[in-house]
Amino acid sequence: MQRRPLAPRADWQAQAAATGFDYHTIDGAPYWDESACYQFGWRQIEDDLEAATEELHELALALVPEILASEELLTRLAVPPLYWDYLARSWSAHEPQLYGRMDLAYDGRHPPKLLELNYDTPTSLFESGFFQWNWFEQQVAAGALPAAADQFNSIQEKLIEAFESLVLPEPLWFSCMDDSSEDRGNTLYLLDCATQAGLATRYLPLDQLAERDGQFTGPDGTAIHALFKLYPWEFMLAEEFGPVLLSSATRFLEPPWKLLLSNKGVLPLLWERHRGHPNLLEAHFDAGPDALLAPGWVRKPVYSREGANIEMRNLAGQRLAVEGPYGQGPWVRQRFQPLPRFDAADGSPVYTVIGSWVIGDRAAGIGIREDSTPITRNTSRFVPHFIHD
Amino acid sequence: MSVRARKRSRSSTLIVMVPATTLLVSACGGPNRVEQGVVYQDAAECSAQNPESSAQCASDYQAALAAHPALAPKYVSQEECEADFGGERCEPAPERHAQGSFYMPMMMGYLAGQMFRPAPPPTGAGGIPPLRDGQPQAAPAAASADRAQPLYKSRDDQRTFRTAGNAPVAERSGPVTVSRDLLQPRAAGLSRRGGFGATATRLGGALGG
Repeated sequence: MQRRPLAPRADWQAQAAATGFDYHTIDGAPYWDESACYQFGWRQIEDDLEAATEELHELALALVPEILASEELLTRLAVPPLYWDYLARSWSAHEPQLYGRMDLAYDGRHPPKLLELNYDTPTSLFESGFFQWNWFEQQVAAGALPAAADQFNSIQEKLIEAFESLVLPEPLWFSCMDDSSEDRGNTLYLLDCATQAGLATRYLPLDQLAERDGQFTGPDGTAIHALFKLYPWEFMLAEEFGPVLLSSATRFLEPPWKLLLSNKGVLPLLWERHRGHPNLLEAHFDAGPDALLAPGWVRKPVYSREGANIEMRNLAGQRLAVEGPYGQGPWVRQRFQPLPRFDAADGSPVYTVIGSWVIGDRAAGIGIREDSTPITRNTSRFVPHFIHD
Repeated sequence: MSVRARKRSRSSTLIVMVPATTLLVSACGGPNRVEQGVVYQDAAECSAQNPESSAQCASDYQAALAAHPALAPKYVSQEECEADFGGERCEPAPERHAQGSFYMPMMMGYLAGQMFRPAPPPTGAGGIPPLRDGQPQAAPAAASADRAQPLYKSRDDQRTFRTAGNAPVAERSGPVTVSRDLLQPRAAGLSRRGGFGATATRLGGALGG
């Protein structure tokens, strides 16, 4: 695993604009960064990342029925009791999931370590599945990458296959907060894949979703029988329309039971059940920010996104914290795992996290995020990769 | 040398995101039972085109007008109603809530036809699929809806006559061929919207992880 500088394609910004990828620059800073790329060997991709992803996915899925059967575990994960049955029904009805992303710390030499699961509203899908794929094809065609190289990225193919096999009413509606171009780009990419799979699709800004007689509808009263939502389940349960879920016949993607696996409480649960697993970091439930955090630990709220509200103390005891709005509910602490450090062209350090995609229960590819700090955030740069021994 | 399985998608194309503005993809409906009907703005337009049937025009129009308050979608405020149907195209509904009246779009036309008389189509011949498993479908709101039903026009499409359930019916007055499945009237309940999104609005920023 190496980080290599590479000249960006001359027209990549025009290509981004043509596909609505307008969040390639966030607050004036680059988000999509193809001035460098990562090279992996085949063994690193297949034996380490792919194998670890599918194994961790299986361990995570095995937790779901155990949590649903235990009031104690549901309580530890701060799942509102009003919705326990709702989640359990979605699991026992085998409501299908579409996708998820797990974040791994991996340096190319040691086993990948699971940092967390993003199993409800994972993003960076468009840049992983589409834009990165095109970067690779074009750089090979231009001779900038070896012709024998490959990329770990069957994301789009597996998404289309997954949509083809989903049993859901049509049309399938797609919804997100319309004022976030990143969320909209990810949602429309999924809508595009579903359309290519032959499904009838519709887009609806989330704030246009309406309710009538206990059922979800479009703003004009059209019944919505199936809805993909890029919006966290824990928000939905807490908001005004939460109770409508209980009377509604709408089927959701991701299904309600995915709430459990986007909860960071699964990290200590996984550790308790598979202590010493080579792909797991030691983790425990934690008393929260009022308690002292010992050196070598990272504290996170069970519900948080984009690196918010994370506090870490490295082995030397240095404290690093990201403020954020998610300070409620239970907390977990996880053994501090230094992210692999690489050097940027100007010699400054970059820290790398691998987002490994699971689609239809199979490892489907990776996307790499880089930050100049050891906490990966919403603004961390996305850097493409290729495989070549 | 062994042949290695390729690790990437065979191809990668977009059909909806290019151009980025194309958001809506239409679905094609399956084969439906169709019926002949007529669409008019009001009894006067109907009579002008069918002088010999002016009595029928008046009675169909009155039937639709009578069904209108029960069938029209209801909104908590005039603003929410006008967001869907346009300025000065909403009126108070008969129902009231604590802060005042509900609002509904004004009737902009009506649909009448053979399928509404002498009797409505038997249930099971189509109709709006039941929304809630195991519960009976809502019955037509009023007997008058059996012979004619009100039509509306949305704010962003002032040409198309639509049913209370938003099914497009026609872009101009006169005879139409319509699908039975779309036209079974259904009583409107209270419609609310915007019940998801508050947390994101409070927190700001993107939500994905």
